[in-house]
Amino acid sequence: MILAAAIVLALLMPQSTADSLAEQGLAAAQQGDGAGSARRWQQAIAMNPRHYAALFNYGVYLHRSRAEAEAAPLLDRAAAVQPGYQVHFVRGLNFQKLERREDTIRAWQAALKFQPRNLKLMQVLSVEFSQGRYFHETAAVLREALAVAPGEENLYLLAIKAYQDAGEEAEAAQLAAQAVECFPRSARAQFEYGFYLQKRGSTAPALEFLRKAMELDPRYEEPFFFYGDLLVKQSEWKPALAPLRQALAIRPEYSPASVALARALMNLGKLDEAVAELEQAAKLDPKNAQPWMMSSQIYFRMGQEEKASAAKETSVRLRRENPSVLEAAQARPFPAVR
Amino acid sequence: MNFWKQGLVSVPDTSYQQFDPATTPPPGKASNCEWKGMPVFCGPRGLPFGSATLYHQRADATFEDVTKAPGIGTVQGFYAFTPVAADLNGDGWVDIYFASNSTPSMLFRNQKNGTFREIGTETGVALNEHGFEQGGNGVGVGDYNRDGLLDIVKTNFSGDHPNLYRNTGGGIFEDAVLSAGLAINPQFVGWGVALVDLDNDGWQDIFQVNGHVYLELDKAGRSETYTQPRLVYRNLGGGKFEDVSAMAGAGLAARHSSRGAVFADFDNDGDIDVAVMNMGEPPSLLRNGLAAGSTARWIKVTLEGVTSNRSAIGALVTIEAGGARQTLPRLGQSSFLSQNELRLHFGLGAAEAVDSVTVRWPSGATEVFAGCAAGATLVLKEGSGRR
Repeated sequence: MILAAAIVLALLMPQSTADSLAEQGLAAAQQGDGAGSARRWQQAIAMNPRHYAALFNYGVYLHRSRAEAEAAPLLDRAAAVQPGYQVHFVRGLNFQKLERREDTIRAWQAALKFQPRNLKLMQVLSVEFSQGRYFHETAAVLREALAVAPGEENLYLLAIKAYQDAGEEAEAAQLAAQAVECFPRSARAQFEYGFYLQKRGSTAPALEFLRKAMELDPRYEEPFFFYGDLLVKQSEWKPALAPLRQALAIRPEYSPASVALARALMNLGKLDEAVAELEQAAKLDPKNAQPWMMSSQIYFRMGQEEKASAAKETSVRLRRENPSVLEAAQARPFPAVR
Repeated sequence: MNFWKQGLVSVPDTSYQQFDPATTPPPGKASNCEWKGMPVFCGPRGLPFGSATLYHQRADATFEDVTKAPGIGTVQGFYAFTPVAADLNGDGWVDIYFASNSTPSMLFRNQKNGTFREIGTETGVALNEHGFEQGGNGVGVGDYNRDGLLDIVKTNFSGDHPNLYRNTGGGIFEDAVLSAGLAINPQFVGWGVALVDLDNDGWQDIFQVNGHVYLELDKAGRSETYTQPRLVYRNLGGGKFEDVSAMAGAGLAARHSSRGAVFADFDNDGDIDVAVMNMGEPPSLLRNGLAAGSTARWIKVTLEGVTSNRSAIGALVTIEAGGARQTLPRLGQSSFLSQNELRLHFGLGAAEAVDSVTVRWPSGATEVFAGCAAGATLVLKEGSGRR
């Protein structure tokens, strides 16, 4: 009997000592004694390498002390001992500081398993996916978020954008159509659907939705640009001028609007006005090749072939120097779990 | 193609890109080896550019590479697929248009002095209207709006529309794809294409074959598929087209990953048929069933050069019939890696005869020939017409 009690006591002793040290560590940390808290957590972990509280709290402490590289293995060990929302979320934050995007995502995916309806977590996860160009995954997590909170307009808009980035036009269109129905007073929703329709070549309905967006939010430049641009593409040069000018009044450095306006002016025979518009655009958006490309066309029509050629060369150089200005980011697959 | 009016033929040629399997990363192992999140073969971006070459025929019928001399070789950095040689600015000299992928397409204007100058951006046929490079694949040349100027139709990669470059005069183009009603099928990767009168109504329609480049798509369960149907757009006149693919029969609906398309009246029944090359499958021969039930008339024109090259490649033929004027170029190659029949086919609609035929020969001479009743093939020899 006595022997058995002694064995139990012996087994419990390291644990209770490790618990005690872990608690002392926490108390020391609360009193601002960083070195003391670290020492006690280290002792607790030395006594019990699988002591969750010591591993987790020491990891958090190191993370907060900007010692993320040292924190990472402790948090990993804590998560292995006692997986849960909190430890995985903090692991994700720590990885984010270390700019280890894929590990951040994996940690937050693990956290999400414990709180599958955590909207905030889904949103930060979607941002991380998006920044990594994992657009299919961005869209998927936003779809899940929409299932949790179907009344959130912003989630719809983010999901539409994600599907567009992923090149999944049909999905984007389906969501845009839903968004228009759910949020009839939202200029963004009207615009997104109009944008999809113009991409599909459905000009008349696209113009209608873009017009609604313009009416709902006269300070939102994109519907004005796309409306004017659609008219330009329909060779309706004169009606295109006003919406394009409005887009530029809201955002003067909006180069695509300047280029569309210049195209309309060019086709109305107002070549000098078109050139002036493009010169202004080139000043306000100096990395963009588009105004120079359009200038090249106008100078050519003016019979000024050398100027046209020079403008083209500038557009080629700018495109080469600033590829991101004119190139959409390509989606990539999220790497398989190692 | 005859660029210098010497009666000899020159051949523009392209290599798309340089590909070395030893240095090219495997699928998914570099940013240019992914597509919409799916590991795929690399390129074209990230791989070394291809080149354009111009071969000029010598008097002894051999060819020499004259790329450097005419200025084509001065332009670098492109992935060009299809070169088409035609007089695109109407000055009587043959120019060359290259449809390029992921780089600006190029228009080399014949400078009439043995050189070319690249003016694709200046004339509006290099990039889309927002300055974005496109995935240009195939090219057709014709006169869809019957204004006597040569227009261009270019097929592109999926997620984009084709281009319908309307010639506004002097070889300056406006992309009329949206107003023409052609921007409705962005889901397809377009290849072989032509402006060709399929229903003999006197207006050039558009036939386009499609097919994706990534076999992996079918396994990935995406909405896009490797095999895709063909498209026919009927020219309604007034610059508008209508997608009639769904009404055009099983040959159109059949899904293949097609590339080349050759347009010819294979069965000599008075309408244009189409031979299509498919990836990994036998080709398709699509017979146009129009003739059996159609009252629309037609003529064909074949040319024999004397001062010009014998095939009269580079000639421009204009007919007057039923109060309308139609123009077709005699092309060396177009569509995508394809050569159409050299006989030029004109639908006449209800017109019973052609009033006159005007030929601008590659030599520069223009001759007018008397017309004929519909249903005939006119054989016109250079020098036998009225100058």
